[in-house]
Amino acid sequence: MVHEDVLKVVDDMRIRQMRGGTVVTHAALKALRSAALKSKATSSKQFLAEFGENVNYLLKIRAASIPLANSLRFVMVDVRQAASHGAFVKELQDIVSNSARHFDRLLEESVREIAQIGARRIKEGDVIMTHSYSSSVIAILKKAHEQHKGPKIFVTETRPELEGRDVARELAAEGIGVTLIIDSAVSHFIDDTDKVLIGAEAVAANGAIVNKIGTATIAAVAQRARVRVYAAASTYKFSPETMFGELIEIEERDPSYVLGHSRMNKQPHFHVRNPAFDVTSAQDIDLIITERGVIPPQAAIMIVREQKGVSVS
Amino acid sequence: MRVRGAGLIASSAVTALKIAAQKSPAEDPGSFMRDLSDAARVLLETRPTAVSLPNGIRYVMHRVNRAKANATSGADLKLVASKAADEFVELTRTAVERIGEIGAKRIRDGVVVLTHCNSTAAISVMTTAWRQGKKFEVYATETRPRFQGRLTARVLARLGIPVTLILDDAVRYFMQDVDMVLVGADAITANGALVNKVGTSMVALAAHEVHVNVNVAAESYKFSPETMIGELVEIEERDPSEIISAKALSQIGRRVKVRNPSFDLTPPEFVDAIITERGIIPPLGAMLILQEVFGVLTPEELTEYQTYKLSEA
Repeated sequence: MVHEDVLKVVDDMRIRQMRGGTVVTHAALKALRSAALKSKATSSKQFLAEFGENVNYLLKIRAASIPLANSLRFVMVDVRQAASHGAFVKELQDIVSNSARHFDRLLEESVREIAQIGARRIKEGDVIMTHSYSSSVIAILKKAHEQHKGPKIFVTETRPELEGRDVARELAAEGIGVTLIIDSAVSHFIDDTDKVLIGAEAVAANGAIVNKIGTATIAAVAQRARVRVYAAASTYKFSPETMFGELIEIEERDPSYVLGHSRMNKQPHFHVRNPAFDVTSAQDIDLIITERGVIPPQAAIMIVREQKGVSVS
Repeated sequence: MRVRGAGLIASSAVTALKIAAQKSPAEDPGSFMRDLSDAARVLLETRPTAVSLPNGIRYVMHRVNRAKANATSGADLKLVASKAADEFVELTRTAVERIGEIGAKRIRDGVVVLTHCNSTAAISVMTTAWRQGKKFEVYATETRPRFQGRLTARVLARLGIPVTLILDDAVRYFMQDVDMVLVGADAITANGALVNKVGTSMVALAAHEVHVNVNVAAESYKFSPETMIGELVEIEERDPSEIISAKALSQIGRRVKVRNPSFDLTPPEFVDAIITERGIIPPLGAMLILQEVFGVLTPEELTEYQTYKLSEA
């Protein structure tokens, strides 16, 4: 029986349209912690079963969220270890709580570290273009602005959910110069751009980046115009599954986000497709900014191998 | 509708020029030329719009200028002016249909066509092919900011053509399933570059990367002679409210800028074929069309008509 707190957070993810993988992960961990603390399990076996159900539900709904999967794996490893040493329900509850908090902190610290490292890459007066909503990118830009580098940002509106407006708002609130454009205008403004800076939903073992639909196009346009493309991603975005040949599943979202509820939908041969993400190949990425430093996409495999809980053998 | 408007506006202007010619009381060629040139200048100033209007005026004036040397009276030139005007109006009436017939030959059974924005000429190609009994399907980009792609989708779906509506951002994602790209044109420059709805150059780049042909349906009066002497086509920026309402913008930040270029430039190397009513040419053949329709224009003739700003009708 999946706990109501977990059900609620998944609903929130859908309805309130949480922005970005990091935000989603925070929310999921919070729900998992709360569900564990409220558990009425009388045996550790029962607790583990409940816990497993909550985790599976979260994984099923946001299968594409790598940081979420990594965070759940992180907590799962701690819980299983404690259970195998005969821990009681109370101890297991504490483990879930502490482990989840620990991961949360690691995630927050990683964003702060990425901001520091990434801001160093920004030169004074740089014009930077970004796409979709990324906590890491916003942190980098705020840091650079704090350092008086005065970056100016082209923010793509990012159809269909228009999260670019949230990015614009957050940056403008800090006094950062922002220009809002449509996604299709990237080509038109690329010659006025010094760097493209994007986040990542996931990084594959070969250095390819999964990010909001449109990212692959922007990266291609930038490459052609010889504009550098930087991806900002904490190591928790790196996907161990891809090391074993698993393809990252691209989620198709509700088509009504694209067209709404139009009469056209009733026509039998009329379709609307709404893939939420696309894959940007490593050759279109110049470097990835992680909390452990800047790496070329080709070095992603090294990070992926170290993910906790994944056995290479 | 913009594209239909382009032909209509041009033919209206040319008809007005014809009326001015017929009404001119001048009896000698010199005075007639003055009257006609004055009328031409007024018409050119009324409404900066698609290239078709200046082209229509130019079509008539060029032929009258050529006849000037041999004319013995104003009446001779009046006749030339009327005849040229009639020819041009007829051209605007039949060009789109003719392009449909020629272009339909390029659509084979079973192909997947991707189109952008709402072009009468491009739609003519697809509807003609469909009426000929060819079976194919179409991906139509929604085309921000005004979602003109939805109009295209509706027109095609009504005929029974299978249509899938996608985000502009998703072109790279779907390009692997596409066999040919088919778009219209706001203007073709002398070196074969394409000026078309913003986002077109990104569609063309995505197509180019996976070796998908880019076909452009363009009436001969879309070809822009200005670029023969190095004039750049100035790209219009439209009201930001097309992208975001004033209210929503104020909620994001008072100093957030919005930029809304309506067109972008696709270089000739990303264009594979241009379908005109006179036949199919490669982009580098743009000069042929320009010469055929306008003859060898002198720099003086060109500068007389000034650089105009390309804007949506």
